[in-house]
Amino acid sequence: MITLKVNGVSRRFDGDPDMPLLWFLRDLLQLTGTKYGCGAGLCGACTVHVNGSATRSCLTPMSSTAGKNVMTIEGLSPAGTHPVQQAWKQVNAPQCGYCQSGQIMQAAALLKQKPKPSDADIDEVMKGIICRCGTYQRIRQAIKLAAGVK
Amino acid sequence: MPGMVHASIEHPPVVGGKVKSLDDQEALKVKGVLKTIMIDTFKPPYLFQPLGGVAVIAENTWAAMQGRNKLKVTWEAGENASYNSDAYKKALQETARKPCKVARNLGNVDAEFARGGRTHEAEYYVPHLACPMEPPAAVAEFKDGRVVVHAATQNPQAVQDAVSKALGIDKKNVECHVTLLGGGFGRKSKPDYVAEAALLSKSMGKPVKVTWTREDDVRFDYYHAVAAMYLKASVDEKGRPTAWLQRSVFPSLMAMFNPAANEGSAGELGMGWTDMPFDIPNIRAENGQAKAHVRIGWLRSVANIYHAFGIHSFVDELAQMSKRDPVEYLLDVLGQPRKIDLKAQGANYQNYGKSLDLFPVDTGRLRRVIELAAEKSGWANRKPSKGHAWGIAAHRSFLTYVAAVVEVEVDDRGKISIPRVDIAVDAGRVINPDRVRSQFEGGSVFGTSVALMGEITAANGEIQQANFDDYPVARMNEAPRVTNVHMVSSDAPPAGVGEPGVPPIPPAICNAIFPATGKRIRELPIKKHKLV
Repeated sequence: MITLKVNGVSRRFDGDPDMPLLWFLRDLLQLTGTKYGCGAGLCGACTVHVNGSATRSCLTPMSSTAGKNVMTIEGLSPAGTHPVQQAWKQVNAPQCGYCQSGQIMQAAALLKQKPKPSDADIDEVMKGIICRCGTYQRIRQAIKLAAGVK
Repeated sequence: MPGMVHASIEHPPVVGGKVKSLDDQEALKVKGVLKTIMIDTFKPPYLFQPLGGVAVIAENTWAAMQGRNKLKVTWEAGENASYNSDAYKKALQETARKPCKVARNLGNVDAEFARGGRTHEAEYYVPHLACPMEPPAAVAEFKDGRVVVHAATQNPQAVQDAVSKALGIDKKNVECHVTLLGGGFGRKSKPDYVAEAALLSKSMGKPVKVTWTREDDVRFDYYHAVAAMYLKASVDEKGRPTAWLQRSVFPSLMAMFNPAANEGSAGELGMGWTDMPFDIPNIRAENGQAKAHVRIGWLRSVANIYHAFGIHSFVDELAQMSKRDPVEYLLDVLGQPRKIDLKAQGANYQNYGKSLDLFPVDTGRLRRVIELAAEKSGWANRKPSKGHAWGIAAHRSFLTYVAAVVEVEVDDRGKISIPRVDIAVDAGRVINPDRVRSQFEGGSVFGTSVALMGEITAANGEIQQANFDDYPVARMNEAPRVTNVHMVSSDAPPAGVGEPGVPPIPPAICNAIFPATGKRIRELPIKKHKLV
């Protein structure tokens, strides 16, 4: 039996310890804001926070989550008032939206670590999250807006 | 949905293949796995029918995938096992070197070539392409002779059609709810995966969710067609073309509907080929035969991708050959503003299904976007140097006129970066400028993926790529840093904006790489070439 916290709520899991956190979130908790994109840590669509760090949930076995705090897009700010979410709305960043929860979770983690990121800082972590619609320019704009940098 | 179960499907590795034997004992031992179900391989034409294979049904997606990994399946590959991309490419290129079926003719190209003036010829090649962001997924519930579907689909009518045919029920008994679409780009207009969910739900007596893995998506897509092109022009003393011959050869989308289809349809040829806009006294556009060995599908901007690459690379080669400025040359070759009467030149031109009175092929509008892109990008004042240069391409598609100026840097290891793209757009009347702008920003990135890295290949009928490691798409650090979109104010009727941003980008990138490195890219993707 594994116990962990997801968005502040205590959860238990006694299934296959190899099951990735992604499928626990999506299929068992119905937290479908976290997306499946590749299953191999290549696209970042499944990015959540584990103990505050941006983490690819598709490569995170449930066995490694015992006692951890997991935050998904649903928990970032239920009212949608996180500065990153606000900036996203202001620049109309999303197109299809599929990768955007991963992008937002990655960006929120970045700003926690580096409140005033440079372009190189942004590239370094955001290159891990693929957007097939090509919204990168607005994502960069939104991160800078949220950070108050030019 | 209450009671919903999950499915992961092992498809035949070669299109049209069938299950020869199945051992599912180990799969059924996986905790959470409920059942395996065989799905019949389609009977041609493949349309939007399921590919066939073996579905593993389980309590959750992970268990279904784990069970699937334990299946032991042997396959009968079928006739498409002969498909090898290297040999196929050579065959297309051979076809393009010889006279093919004429799709448009003006004047007499052969007589002009026979006069013995200066000529130039080149061949171009674009590989198969694939891949939306969200892999195909659908939920279906079959109950009392009716199906309710929730699916990521661009085409709910096709869902009704495909599901009703798969289950042998009337279309009115198929209810389709369209979910948010995790990127369509054409793939999700083809609902084979929805028919799979419906068949499995009927068999299970429960709602079934089908989730394709990324590997399924890359290996079993409806692929953008490969294309080989051959172009030849004769030029006068100023380098202006006096005759222009172009041949394209690609497996047609029509194979979806007719297995015997082996030439480009008027629709595909009308995407940037028969409507080649230059003002040249002798023009001939041809199309050669090719048979499809994988499923061919629409991908964002469709046949315009390869046709624009061929034509707009070649015209840039002619400009460079005569040492003329590419923008000045383009405007010269486009000639005076005019509306082209393609019918008079023997072309069965479909104009994207729209009337030529409302949406003429207007070279004046193409000129205007070229001038605007040149002005806004600072073309006249650019200072190209080794490893740093600009390229232009301009293309009408989906009734919209687009010109792109791309700034490219190539470092001393041959690594490409794109600091800036300026796209000028005349899409007629614009209703929501911000969303038009975003579509062209996205088109610029999509076109960059096509140009730099996209390539699907087959060996013995099996696709050799599977995920974003071997089928990469542009990431933030590889995409253009800035794409500026400049809209022409227009009272013309509104035209397409989702697709037209893509076609000019690959040739514009390659037209910048040439002055930056001296290397002319005639075959995509660029990653296959050594630039330094």
